[in-house]
Amino acid sequence: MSHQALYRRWRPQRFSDVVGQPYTVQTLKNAIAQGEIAHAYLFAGPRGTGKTSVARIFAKAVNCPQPQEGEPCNACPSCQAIAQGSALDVIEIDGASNRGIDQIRQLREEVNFAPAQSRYKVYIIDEVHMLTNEAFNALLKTLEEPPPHVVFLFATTEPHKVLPTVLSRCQAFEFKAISPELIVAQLRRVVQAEKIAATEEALQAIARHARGALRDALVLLDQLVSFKGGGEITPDDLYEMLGLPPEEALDRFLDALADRNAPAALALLAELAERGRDFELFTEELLRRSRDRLLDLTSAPAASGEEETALWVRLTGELLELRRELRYALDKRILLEVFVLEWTHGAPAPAPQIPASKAAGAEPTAEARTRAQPQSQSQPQTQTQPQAQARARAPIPVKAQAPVPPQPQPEASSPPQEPPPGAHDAAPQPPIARGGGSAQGVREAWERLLVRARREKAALHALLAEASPRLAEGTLFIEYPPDYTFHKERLEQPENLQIVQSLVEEIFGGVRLAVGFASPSYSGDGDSPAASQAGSASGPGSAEAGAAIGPSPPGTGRALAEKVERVRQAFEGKVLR
Amino acid sequence: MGEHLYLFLGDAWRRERAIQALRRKLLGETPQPQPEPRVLPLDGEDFRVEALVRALGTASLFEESVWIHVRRVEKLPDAAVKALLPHLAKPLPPGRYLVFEGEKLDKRGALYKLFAERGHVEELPAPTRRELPGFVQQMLRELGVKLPSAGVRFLLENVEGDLARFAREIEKLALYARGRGRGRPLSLEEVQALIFADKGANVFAALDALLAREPRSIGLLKAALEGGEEPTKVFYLLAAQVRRLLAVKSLAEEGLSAEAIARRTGEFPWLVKRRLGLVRRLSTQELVDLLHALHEEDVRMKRGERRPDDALWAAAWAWVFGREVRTSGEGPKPSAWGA
Repeated sequence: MSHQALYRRWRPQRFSDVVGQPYTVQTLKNAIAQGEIAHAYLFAGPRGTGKTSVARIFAKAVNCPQPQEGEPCNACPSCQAIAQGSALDVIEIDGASNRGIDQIRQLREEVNFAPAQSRYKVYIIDEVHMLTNEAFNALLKTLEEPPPHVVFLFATTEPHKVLPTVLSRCQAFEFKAISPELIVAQLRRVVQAEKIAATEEALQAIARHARGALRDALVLLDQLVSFKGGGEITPDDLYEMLGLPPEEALDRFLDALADRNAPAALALLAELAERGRDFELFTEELLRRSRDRLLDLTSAPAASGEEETALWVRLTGELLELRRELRYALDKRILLEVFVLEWTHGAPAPAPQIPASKAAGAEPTAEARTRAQPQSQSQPQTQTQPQAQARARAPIPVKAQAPVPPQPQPEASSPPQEPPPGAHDAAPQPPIARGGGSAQGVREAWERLLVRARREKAALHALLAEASPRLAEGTLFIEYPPDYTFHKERLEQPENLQIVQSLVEEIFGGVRLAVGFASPSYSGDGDSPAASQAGSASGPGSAEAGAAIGPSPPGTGRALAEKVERVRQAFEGKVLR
Repeated sequence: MGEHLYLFLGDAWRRERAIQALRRKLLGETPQPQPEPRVLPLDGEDFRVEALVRALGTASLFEESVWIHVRRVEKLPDAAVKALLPHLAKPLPPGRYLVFEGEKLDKRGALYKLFAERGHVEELPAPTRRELPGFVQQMLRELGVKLPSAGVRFLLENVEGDLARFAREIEKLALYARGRGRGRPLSLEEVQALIFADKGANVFAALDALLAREPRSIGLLKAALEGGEEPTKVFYLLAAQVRRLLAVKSLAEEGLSAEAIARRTGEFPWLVKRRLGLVRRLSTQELVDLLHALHEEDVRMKRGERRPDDALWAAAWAWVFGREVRTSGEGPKPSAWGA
């Protein structure tokens, strides 16, 4: 005998078998028991919630000569014929493939004929929302005065597409998504009856992924049985089969982000890449999981602080944005890695403001906090934002090995404030002199550049935040510690370099730009002409080492770069040369 | 007393009831019990004049009456009306009842004038928002359904459309209630589970909580979306709610009472009171900012930069937690929606 899918074998045959729709089922049973049959019903709800099954049970029950309290007997020839799909008077129509006016006209003619064997002629029209407007209008005339022997049962997943005039002639029932608990209970019944070995965790994972659709859950179980070939089904089998990241991996990644633990998060990404996981799917699942954790926090506010909630709000928001960016990314893994670095080294997004009234003091900018951290750790913590606290708690291992000597830091108590939008244009800062400014002047200009870069492109800001500026002999050197190859290479990509060049020109004036590695012996003095040599590091004016872009004529170069960047952003393109 | 020429115009449910009442009255007028009349149903859209003329002119074989029922009178083509008028101008043979019904008919037209002069015209407009509770209460009484006041409000707030929709919903409630013994009122939970909410009842609960900046709204929103609600629909419902709040707030600031606002806007008074309670906690600027933010998300959706559910979540988080979700390439923006 051929294999019958579980969802078909376990399709409910009586109203009492229907899972998760108690009110609808009770009302329909009462209608049958009392003989008050409406001429049209509409069953609306998400897929896999029992609409078509209930329609078939209803068709059996109205035609059953001996219904028991509204339930079909399932023993009489009528019930059996309907169950086998051979009843002449129960006509199932797929609305998606019979959506035209001609089909409905034909139906209108047919409804006038009395039923061949049964009391009622039952028309089950699935996906009724797919009917054309003309077809709906044609149907409307039949619905206004249907022959007494006809019952229409419409099923749809999109009730808002059904004409209101049709809707007002139907008794409409809303089928709700089935709760995971009820799905697990049904799965438990199925595995026991079918002698399938599955762990309770596996059933829960299946229920979670079925998203309220019992049919989907049974299909998943069926697939897992084939996938596993007789062994015990575990949640990992489900993840493996669907190519999904395990919940545990999602939690591990989110925890790593929450703790600003870049190595742990990057290691997990590497692990996923090795296993050939889809990063877009991973991000999607990550977002779902992050939202669930946020929900847990908001539903139990006493157990969590506002700061923790704020952290998760922010992280979830960033993941939302990441998902958007990921759609256009050629290399999704790199984008995810940049995201991890961005987040763990100073997320560029504005800090949450909950509650604004409780926020104490001014909010230091992300880069100021990052730079001020070594000094501020011993100072009383005045920051109220969770990311600042989390950063203070968590080590930043990547940065810890940077060979760049400590540079003079701006005062932690007076961090540079990000100007309000438009403020920069209103009061432009004078560019640093071409011949080189003071160390303090260079650093202040650099801070301004970082703020502007963050507004232009968050990922670029993350790259620049790890670099040190040095102005010498009319050249601005953007220098990275020797092991920051990734950052340097990313910054040297034409689309990033274009923006940096434009910003440098705006803030530093007509200086040359060079990107390279810092020398370990570098003193940190902005005026020092010492060459920054490391691997292919650039010396002042050495065009072949690192990336160097010559100054453009004032105004024209910047305008062009801006135009190029706008075009690139509009088309999500790439600057090739 | 005019001829048995009847024209019913207006709400479909009221027409149906009025025609049923007329039929009972006419059949009950005769001293002997009458057989059911033969019914000739016709439709304005594919009207056949000859069928009507034949029914008017042919004597009944067994003296039974003939009930000629023309639906959708507004769809009658001009040519059909022209052909019909001379026949209607003559006195009707005995036992002939001519019932025309439809949503509307031009009062200056010859057909309307003929019915007004020679027969009966009954205008049955759809009830206003203020009249609606009365009709619904009447339906509930007739079917013996008892609801808590919150249940009646839920019904009124969440069912849209004509009175026929309400009738179907109340029939359904009656059927459910009958299974659990007459006389016992249904609980709000039962009403909520049974009503087919055109506008998405659980969505409105989520949106109300969202606009009140209650963190639980995030859970309600998730449940609504997982329950099959369309994110696009929910998004635009949110925008519509904000506009309603702004309207209520501006009228309240003009010094209008809740009752006066309800009259002005055509909303249910209790709904206006609920909205007033909400807008008292929100400034106009906050609402305008929210509307702008929704507009921005809308543009992002239309540009294909955001999926509808993402746009909705971004707006919801920003509003509830006072945080603006950045868009790529723009960098951070100061939150305009700070709590």
